[in-house]
Order: sequence, then C-alpha cells, then structure tokens
Amino acid sequence: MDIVTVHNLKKYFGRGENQVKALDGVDLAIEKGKFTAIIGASGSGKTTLLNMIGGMDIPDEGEVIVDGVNLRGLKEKELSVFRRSKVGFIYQNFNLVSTLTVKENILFPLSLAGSTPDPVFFEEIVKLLHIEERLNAFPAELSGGGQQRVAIARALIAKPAIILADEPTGNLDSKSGQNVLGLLKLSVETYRQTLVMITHNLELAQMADCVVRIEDGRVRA
Amino acid sequence: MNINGSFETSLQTGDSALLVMLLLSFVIAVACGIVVYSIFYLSVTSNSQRLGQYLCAGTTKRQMKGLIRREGLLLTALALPASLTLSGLIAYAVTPDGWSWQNFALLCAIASVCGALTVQLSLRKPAAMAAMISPVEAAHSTASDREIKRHGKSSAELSPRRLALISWSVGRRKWLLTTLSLTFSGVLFMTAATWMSSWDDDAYSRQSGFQDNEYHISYLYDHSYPRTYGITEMQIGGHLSPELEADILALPHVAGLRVEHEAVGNVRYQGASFLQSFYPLTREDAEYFELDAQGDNSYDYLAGHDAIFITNSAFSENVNGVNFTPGKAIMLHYFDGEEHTVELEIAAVSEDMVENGDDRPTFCMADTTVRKLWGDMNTASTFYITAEDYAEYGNELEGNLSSLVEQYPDLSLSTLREQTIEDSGAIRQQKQQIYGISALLIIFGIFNLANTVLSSFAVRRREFSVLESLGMEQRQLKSMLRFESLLQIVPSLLLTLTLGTLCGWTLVWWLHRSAAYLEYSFPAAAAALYVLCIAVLPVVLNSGCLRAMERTPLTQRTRCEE
Repeated sequence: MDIVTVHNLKKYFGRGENQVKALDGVDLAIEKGKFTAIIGASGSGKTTLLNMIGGMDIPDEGEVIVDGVNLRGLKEKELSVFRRSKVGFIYQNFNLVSTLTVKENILFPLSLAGSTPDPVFFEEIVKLLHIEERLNAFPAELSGGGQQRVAIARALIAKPAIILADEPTGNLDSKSGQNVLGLLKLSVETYRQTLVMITHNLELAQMADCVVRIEDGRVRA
Repeated sequence: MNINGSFETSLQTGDSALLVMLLLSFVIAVACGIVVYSIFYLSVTSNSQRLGQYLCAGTTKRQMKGLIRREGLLLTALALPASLTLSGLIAYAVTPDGWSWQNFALLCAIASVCGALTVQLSLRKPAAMAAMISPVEAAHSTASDREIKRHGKSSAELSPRRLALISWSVGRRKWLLTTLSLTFSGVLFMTAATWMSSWDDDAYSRQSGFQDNEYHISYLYDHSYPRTYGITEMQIGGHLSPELEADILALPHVAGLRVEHEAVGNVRYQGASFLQSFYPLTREDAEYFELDAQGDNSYDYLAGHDAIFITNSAFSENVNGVNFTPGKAIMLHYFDGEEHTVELEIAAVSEDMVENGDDRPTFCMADTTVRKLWGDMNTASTFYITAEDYAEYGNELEGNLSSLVEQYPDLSLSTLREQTIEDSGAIRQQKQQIYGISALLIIFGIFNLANTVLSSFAVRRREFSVLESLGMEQRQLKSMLRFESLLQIVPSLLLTLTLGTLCGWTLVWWLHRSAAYLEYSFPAAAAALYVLCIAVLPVVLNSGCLRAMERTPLTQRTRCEE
C-alpha cells in the first residue's frame, strides 16, 4: 500500500534563460512502512521533492497525495496542520529551537496541536535514542549527534504518517552518522514508520528498502 | 524716565531660560545615548557570528572596537547634516526674527561635537562586547548552536504564551534595555504633556492684574509723552469719582468694584531723578508690615515720621542706579494744583514685595502722609470691576462699560478679553515649542521600539520559519509575538505612566510657585495617544514583518543562515 503518491510533479525556479527545472514531471510512489532513500547529485531536485511531500513548498504542476491527503489546494493553515500531524521532519542542521530544552523540543509538535503526550511512548523514544539523561539540557549543550537524536525523537513523537529526513547525517562525522542512522532505522522499524531519506552517501542508501535516483528533476530508477 | 519693556524683562528673567534649554538638551542627549546604545547592543548581539568570523580572519580586538566606532562615526556623519538642516528650518520657522547665520554655524559646531561624543560614549560598551566575542562563534551556523541561559524547568505544555515567556526569559537584558529607553522617553513625553495640559490660558491672562476681576478703568496715560507728575493732573480732574463708581455698580451683572489709589511725584535721590508712584498704606495692610525689611516698616513709624517704605528695592535700584538706605532721605516734588517739594525719610527698604497681582506701586507711604501732601485730591488710580458671571454676561457688561468710559476722554478701559487676545500669540509660541519637544520625544520612543521589534524579528526570522515548518500556524505565531510585545510594553507603559505622572506633577508643583497659571491636570489625551502608539506599533510591525517573511518560501527560510 502506497502512503505517498506523486504524479507529474513540476517545480521551476526563476524565469527565462535563468529558469531552473528543479522537478520536471516526477512520478513516484512510496510504500507504507518502508525505508526509501532518495539519492542524486547536488541540485538534482531531491530536497525540492522532499519539501513537496512534506507540504513545505507548493508545486507548479502535478499533485502530491500523502496518507490520503491531496496537498494541492490546501491553505496555509491546513498545510501547517498537515505538517504537524502527518509529517516528522529531520533536517541536516537539526533545526532545534535553541530556547527550548531537549524535552520541550521533542514535545513541541504535540504542544502545537494541543495534544497530550503519551508518557510511555515518550519514555520509550528517549531511551531508544539514549537521550533520557539529557532532557533538561539545551541544544547547544549537546554534540551534533546528540542534537540529531533529539530531532529524530521530535519527528517520531507525534506518530506521523511519514518521516522525512534531509541528509540527517550530513553534519555529523562518519561514526556519529552511522550511529544516528542506525537509531533512526531502528526507530522506524520499531514503530513501523515510513521513512524517506535524502542522502549523498551510497553506503547509507544501501541500508534502505528502496532507492530512488533523481537526475535533472526526474526520477531515473 | 520710562522703563523699556525688554530692558525690564531682561532684569527679571536672567539666564533661567538658557539653563532650562541646556538641561533639556542634556536630557535629550541622554535619551539619544540610550537609543544609540540600544541599537549597537542589538546589532552586536545579533551579528556575533559575522563579527566572530572577522576575529577568525585575524581581526584584533582593538581593530574590532575600531570597526564598531567607525560604524558609529558613519551613523553620526549620515545623521548630522539632515538633523542640523531640519533643526535650522524649525528654528527659523519658530523665530524668524531671531535667525543669525553666525549663531547657527556656532550651534552646528557644538551640536556636531556633542552628537559625535554622545554616539561614541554610547557605543563604548557594545564595542567592548564585540571585541570579547569568541572566534568559535563564527563556526556556529544554526540557531540551536547558540548557548542559551534560561531559568525554569522543562514544560510539556508549550502554548504561544509559554513560548513568549521563554523568549522573554532568555532575552531579559535586551528587554531591560528597551524598557529603560522606552520608559525614559515616555516619562519625558508625559512630563511635557503634563506641562501642556496643566496650562490654564484664562489663568495665564488673569495674572496680569485680572485675578479677581475682568475690567480695569484707569487714566489714559501716554508713556510716550510723559508728564512731570504722571497722572496727577488727571487725578485733579477727578473722573475716577464716587459718582462713576456708583454708575458702574448700577450696571447689570456687576459683582463688585475695588478702587486702587496711588499718588505720583518726582523723586530725586543720589543724583537720580525719576517719576514714582506711591501706594497709600492703611493700618489694615498687614502684609506690608510683615515683610522682611531693613529699617522700621511699621505703620506707626511711617505715619509718625511721614516716611516712605520701599519694597522690591533691587528693581528700582537697578533701573535708577541708586542704593536705597534706611535713614537717608529722598527729595519729592509733587503737584496738587500747585508744585511742592518735601524731604521724606526712607524708613525701611525690603527686597521682597507684596504680590497682589495688580500693578501696584512698590514705593509706599502712610495714608495720613498722602493726605498731608496731596490734601483732598482724589488719588483713585484704577477701578477693578468684577463681572457676575463673566462667561455668560462678560460681553454685555463690557459693552456697557465701554459706553460709560467713552464719555470721559482721559479714561481707558482694559479688559480680560483684550489681555487674552494679546497673550494668545505668546501662549501659542510657547505651546508650539512644548509640542515640538513632545513630538520629538514620542518619535524617540517609537523609533526605539520599532528598532527593537524589527531587529528582534530579523534575528529570529529563521527561528520562526523552523517553528512554522514544525507545524506552527500563523495564528499561533502571531499570538506568540503579540504576547511577547505585551511582555515588552506593559511594564514599560506602567512605569511610564507612574513615573511620568509623578514627574509631571512635580514639575507643575515646582513651576506653580512662579507660574500660577499652571494647575496640575493629568494629560489624558496625550497619555491615551502614547499608549495607543506604543501598543499598536509592535502589532503592526510584527504583522508587516510576518507578511514580508511569508513572501519567501518556507524551504528557503529554514535553509538560510542568520
């Protein structure tokens, strides 16, 4: 069963001679509960595709359906609600809120939705990601790997339909990167989450159930 | 000799106006300093990464301080021409007759030096802060890398209000700085507004002898063609008579009439000769006998020795170039139909005077002495007439009095209405100056707040975008910013209103001693306008910033470096 369906997705930046076709008619289906890696060179359009799936950007043409929700025509407020309920984001540069503690950062998506966190699930996640001792610390007090583990916990806490990770190990050394990716894979397997990850690293991509290659704004394989 | 008005004023006012202007300039310089400090403090704290990169590239701490100082000099160089031109135009508009290129050039030089010094002094601390930035900060690229010091435990509930409180708690120094500068300019504004609202135009005009009356009838004495014995010849004519008094009292809506007496003679003393009026003291004029004076100023002594008592002595001494000493004598030439000369002892001299609001003579002698010298001559000099209900019947009574006075060519009628018209120009000019200062102060406050809001938004643009990417709605973001604004504004407004009211009241209380027309009145309209401006401004600016931010795609905003 497909959780993400992308049909004839187009996104262009700029005009005239300077126009860049970031996505030029992408068709893609992502199976539920699977780990999909999107690979491609810089500027191939993979981040743009991820942003379209996550409701962060609006396509020029085509449609994106995530967990039964067609993102086309959703208003800004509806997109916000979609992002916090259906999608968990993990960014290369972590994007943690510096003024919030680790615990607050993890629970933030739930707070925005006005939902009460499940304490058992919270305990499970923080133990799984080895951050139970640092819940009252601030992001600046953690290592890069530590911050990315917090970002993973934040992405998982709302039990979203899909987790989107944009080069989650890009800012980490290889050992930390392997460690973080192992935990990420373990988490999505434990909670049967769908994970879509962008990476340059073919070695990491081999850990995925499915690999999608993007070139010049099109899916090649 | 007739006293020139400007000369008289120059003797009375001294340098107090200049001192007030200097004090005001100092206060404005301090306000400017706080604003400049605030701008550079925010600039340094929000650009620590960029400044850290300079240090990484080999910039020394001294060079870093120099960089900030040069930015200050650039700011001064850009601001000075515009501000000097504008101030010159305003000064010319306010007092065109007082314009002098020489003075303007001098003031430009002084203002430039003071302005540059104020800026350089104000950015000493921010420059030192910039020099203390660790080069390691240059390596930090994300918001989450910045070290945060915040009190309080983690909370599971993160409402927009809670987020605003967290943001407030980590930026308390900035908050304190903005609150301080906003309160400072607000208090100054409230003080100036209180001054204006406490100004009673009617009371201002009434201080020229109209405290308890609205009409004066006196002899039409032309100071351009002085007579040897002043109004004496007209007094001999006796038109300010009991008959006229009775006619006036018979007019409708006359509440009362008071007759003031004076006798005029020519005084010769220490080589000076001057025309002088004398007020006839009765035993009931207790306030004169209670004045602190050299010599004996009791009624019995004055009456017993036919002596004179000089009050407000310094004024006459300055004007005539003499020095009055008790025990010495003056030579008085006077006229009662015939010319006489008499020597009168100076019984007492006082630098104080009785403030009765009228233009009463400062030289006094006992009523018995006046009768001895001028006999039965009618010494009435002015009729002070009070209307029954001035607002209602003032015009009608003025018409009737004018008709009555027209029958006597040597009498003149002056009214509170004429005085009010005459004063209106001076009042307008003074109020324009206070309005100008108030506008300047409120612009200060607004500029400072706008700077805080805009710079704060610019620094946190990426943070807001991250919040949005995590699912925070615009509504929640606006609510958070609104609450942050409230946390910023409410304490400042409370402080401004409290301290501003206190300062305004104190100023009016202090000025009231020399300016009775100032009666404390809370400047409700100005305060409401100030509260409205300060409360609405952050909301408008934040909304505008949010709208502008939304024009950039969310993906771009979350990627971009600060």
